[in-house]
Amino acid sequence: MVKVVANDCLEDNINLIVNKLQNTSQLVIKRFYIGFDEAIDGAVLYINGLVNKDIIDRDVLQPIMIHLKENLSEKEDIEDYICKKYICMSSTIIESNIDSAIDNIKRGKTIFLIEKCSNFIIIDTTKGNYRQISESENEASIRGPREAFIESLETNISILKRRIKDENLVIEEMVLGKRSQTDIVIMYIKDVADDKLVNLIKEKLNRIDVDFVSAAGVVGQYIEDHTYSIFPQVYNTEKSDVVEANIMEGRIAILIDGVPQVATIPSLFIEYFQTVDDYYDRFIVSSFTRALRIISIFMVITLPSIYLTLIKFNVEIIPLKFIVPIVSSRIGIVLSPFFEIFLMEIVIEILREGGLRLPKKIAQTLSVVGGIIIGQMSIQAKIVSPDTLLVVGVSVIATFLIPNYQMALTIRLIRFPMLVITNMIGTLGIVLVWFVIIVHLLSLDSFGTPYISLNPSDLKDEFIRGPLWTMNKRPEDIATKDKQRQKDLKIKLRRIRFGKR
Amino acid sequence: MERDNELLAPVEFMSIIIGNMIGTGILTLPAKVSKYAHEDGWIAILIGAAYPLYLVILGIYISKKYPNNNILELGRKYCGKLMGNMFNGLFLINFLFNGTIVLASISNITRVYVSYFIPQYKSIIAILIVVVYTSFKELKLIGRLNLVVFFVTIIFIMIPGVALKSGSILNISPIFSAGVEDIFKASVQSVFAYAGVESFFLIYPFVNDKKKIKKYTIKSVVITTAVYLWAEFVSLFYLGDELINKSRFPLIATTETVVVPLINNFRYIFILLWSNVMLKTIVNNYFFTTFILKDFIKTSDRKYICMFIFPIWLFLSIYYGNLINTDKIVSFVSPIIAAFNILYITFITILIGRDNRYEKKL
Repeated sequence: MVKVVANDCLEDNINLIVNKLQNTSQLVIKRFYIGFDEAIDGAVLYINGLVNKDIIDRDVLQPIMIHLKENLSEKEDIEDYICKKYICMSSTIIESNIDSAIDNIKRGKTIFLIEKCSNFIIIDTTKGNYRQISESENEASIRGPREAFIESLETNISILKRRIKDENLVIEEMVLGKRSQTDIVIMYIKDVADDKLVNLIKEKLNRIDVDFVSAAGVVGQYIEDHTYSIFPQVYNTEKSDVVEANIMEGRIAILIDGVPQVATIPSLFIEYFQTVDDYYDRFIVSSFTRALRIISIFMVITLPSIYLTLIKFNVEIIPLKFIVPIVSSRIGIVLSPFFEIFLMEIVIEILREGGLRLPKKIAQTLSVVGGIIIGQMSIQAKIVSPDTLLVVGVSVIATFLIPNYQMALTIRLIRFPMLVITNMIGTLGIVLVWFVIIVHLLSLDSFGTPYISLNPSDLKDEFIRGPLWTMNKRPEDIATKDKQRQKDLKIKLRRIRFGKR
Repeated sequence: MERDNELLAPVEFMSIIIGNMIGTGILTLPAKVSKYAHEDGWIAILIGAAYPLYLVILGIYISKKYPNNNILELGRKYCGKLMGNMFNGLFLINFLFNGTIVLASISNITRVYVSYFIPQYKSIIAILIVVVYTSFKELKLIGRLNLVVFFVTIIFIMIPGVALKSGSILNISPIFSAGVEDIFKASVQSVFAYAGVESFFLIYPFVNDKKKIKKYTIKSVVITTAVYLWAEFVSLFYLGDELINKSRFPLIATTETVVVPLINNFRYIFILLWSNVMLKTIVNNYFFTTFILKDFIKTSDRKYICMFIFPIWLFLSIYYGNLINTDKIVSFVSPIIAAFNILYITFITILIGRDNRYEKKL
């Protein structure tokens, strides 16, 4: 692109900017005189709605129009002089490139143009109406910080910078989207994150050529390697402490302007089943919860299928005491076991999807109608048996244990092929589908990092949560540069206990 | 991003060798050795371990001399292109035979115990589809899969341990009662259980830390032997010689001692779990078959070979028929294959040794 430089004439410069901006309905141009005797023409340009007008009036226009009482026409470097003496603001830049003026004006900065000056001043007057930092509604945590990201990129960066003061924290900015020109920022710790990965992500982000990017999930889908995999490969979160922990482990965070979710890359399978609370609680308790979550994955995917094989094919395996009530409850039910389970699963998916976007007040009605009326009546109408409803209900409850919503949806979807194949070939189907899932998970990678880590040193933070002092190393596959997370704390603490130094 | 480490870690290498050996053989092994050696089946298993150990020791020697060439290249180098390719073809039979036998066995076992309602060919097709899907992937995935299944195997194999509470020490005595000849016969029967160790010769060039090959290979043979001894011990301790001889899968019988609520028979769950172990063995053999074939047909994509040999596998595993037939074929063919392996590998080793001596003289 040819660099367009501002020239001496004020009107020319204004026209240049107006022409380049094209859409000028929101553009405000305020012209005024600078100085006594031979006053010079000046103008400020900004876009209405993106700036804080009070600041412009108080700290830019007032000093220049009222307090500036000297003749500037003879001075050299007027812009520098004005900047240093009259603009009572900390963030000002002197520029000559018109393109940079355009970029800045779109982002809520004010351009100060002066006659006979080939440079102009960019004044940071950004102000947008954003919501306040609040607690995350989608990701609740019981202990730990409540602060969640908001739509403002600057605030999000500041939240993270407040939490990570390391000098090696790198913040790189880029612009994405041909038309939206969204600012995005990647953050990582230079001496922990893998250089290859950082370069790869930057290269991939630079290659994205689309109209707009509206959310972290979209960026993730543009840059991921395995589009046809059902499993998410980019982790999104609203919680600042999760991003902090991820950056510390050598991951790269992608922040997008106007999006309260931050994506971290690479993501591992097990990450979706961990919560920050695991680290804040006692490790035995956390290990138990983690084990529960792993069991819940098996339950969500397999429980309806196992029930199907038991009542359709392998009835001989159920003890007599159970088979009698099961059979008696199934008398008069017309639907086949498979169809019965399938129908209930679909109804529950409908209820879930319906409840997701409903206003809270109506959602209560949905839960009453869905849970009580449909549940009760489908049994009385002899559509499903109570046992089926129980099994489906348990498997639905088990999905709520999966902390990440993306992954929960994926896991729920897997049980449908499982159910269909089990209906065709019975128990063997369960084995085969699980085998395929495991093979797929083992072959999957998130940006070159194996999705399932098999390193012995990482196992203490996967299915269980080991004591914090044992986690001396960062995840082996992610942090290739600096693996040491902490020194061996236990030995040091023991020395203190025994009175040694 | 290309993964840095596409080569096998030593532990993955070890688990591939173990995974190739432990499959269906373990389920029938106690019955096979008890047929001749009775209470001394464990001695037969120990002696049988000489077969993989011998191959592996020669293999370690070969891998030191030629760390970057597998047996296929060495065969061509030392026997000429034609003979080398012929030997390689015979070497391929190892994997083709083992794989199809395990495939026939798994379909038979699941038919006997869990899914009697589907015809054999259907279950074989279903399994083969999954196997082909897995074989599309690279060797690294096979390594990772084997590593996972290895740990799972170790956990599963502990389940029959529950039978110890209802067994009797009298069942395992008298010790050293069988004759030498019987024990030898029994150990020949155990060869099928150890078949699969040949995969060593194909994959040692792909290990990233060549110094550890020796340690991990020996480990793999020792672990396999230990697992077999454990299976034999548990079965013998719980069932006794007489019952072992009368049952087809003594190890599965021992799992029936586990009592869980809601299910009449734990055997069902054990088959469900152990199917994964058997599946992995089929995957390994299928993979190595395509691996060797790719060496013949150099230019083609391995995925096509995977799909192309599908009907051959399907035909063979259906052809073996029921469990009795499969057993007969195994006890006839697997010693022959083992003998070929021993002769071929010894031959290659001698040639390499001779070469090496000449090199030293120079």
